[in-house]
Amino acid sequence: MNEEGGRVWVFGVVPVDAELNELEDRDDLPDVWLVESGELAAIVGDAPEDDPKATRNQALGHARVLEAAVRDAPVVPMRFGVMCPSDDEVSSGILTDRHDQLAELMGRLEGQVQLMLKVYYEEQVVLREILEKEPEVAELRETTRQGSEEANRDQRVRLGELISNAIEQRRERDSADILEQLRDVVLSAQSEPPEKELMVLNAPLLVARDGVEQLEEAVEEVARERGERMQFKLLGPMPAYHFVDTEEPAPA
Amino acid sequence: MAMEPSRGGGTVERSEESGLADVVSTILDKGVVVDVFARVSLVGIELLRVDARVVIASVDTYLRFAEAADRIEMGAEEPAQLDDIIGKASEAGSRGKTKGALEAGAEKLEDIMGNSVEEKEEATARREER
Repeated sequence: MNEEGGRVWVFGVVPVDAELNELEDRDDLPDVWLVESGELAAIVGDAPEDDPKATRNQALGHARVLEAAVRDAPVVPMRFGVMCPSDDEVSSGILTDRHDQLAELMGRLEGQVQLMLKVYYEEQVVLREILEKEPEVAELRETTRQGSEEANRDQRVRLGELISNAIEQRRERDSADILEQLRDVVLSAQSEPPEKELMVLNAPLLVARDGVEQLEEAVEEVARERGERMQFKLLGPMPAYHFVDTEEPAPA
Repeated sequence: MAMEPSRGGGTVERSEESGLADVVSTILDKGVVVDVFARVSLVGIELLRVDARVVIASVDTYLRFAEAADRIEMGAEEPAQLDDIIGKASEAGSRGKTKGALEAGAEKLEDIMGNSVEEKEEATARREER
């Protein structure tokens, strides 16, 4: 229990009868306990100290606690930063007042998990391809190669901008192709903005819990077809962060 | 040609646990909000948010691409016709100049926080080489 009257951090909500073996077995995660009410239980812990390092650790802890929980049960993930004054307030203010909405959401998430597919261009490969296929870029590169760096800064900026545009065009096409190829093995897919310049696809994928392996195989196949041109990274399973309503459930 | 075991070649890097750079974009802006108790602003949360901010193409980005393109050695390369090119290039873009240096900021922050995607990928590569 929470001892010194500090704030209680709310990680997420699970069914009250969930057996969270992975969460219990792990000793590298923040200490957590359950607050129960009706059919629901909230996974809670002590709120972090108020300093940047603690906040950073809490971000990792928050994600990892929920990743551990979702191995064994459906999880409604709370957004980072939800805190309550006490366990009682978690019970009354969240689990009781919003019981039906949370239970409904839980029902929808039953048997579903999220994975993140992140795909990046190999810089050398995609640049070479652009230089080969886009004469305007190749010509401008030859110009900028011959002058001094300061003298042709504007030209270098223009060259980089052309390359950036060329990557953007490829990104649109390639990301759509990849998602299309995965259509049959996902329940739903989104496409988030790229996090890095060379990112092709940043996609939260909703899949059936027993369909993870099938997705992995499909992604392997997609990656094989792209060969050296792209790098693939598949993260999860995690709770369906991107597929829950982010609006606050209205109080009952 | 030297082989790099964990990169390219159609392999998928598989991770069941997210790193910091991966989690900020999910947990900061997604998930259920219950704001009967206002989400308390934590010290450092804005730094995490900057880390998660989406790339916006900037002059810095363009110059980096130009430099990277510079280093690419093409196969049978024809000498450039300088006269043809100068005309086209002189309309050099000023469009990107006002877009700011967000990306640079994000990269610096990653340096400070020491948990960039690249570092992790390198670490993975090293492990797999053994």
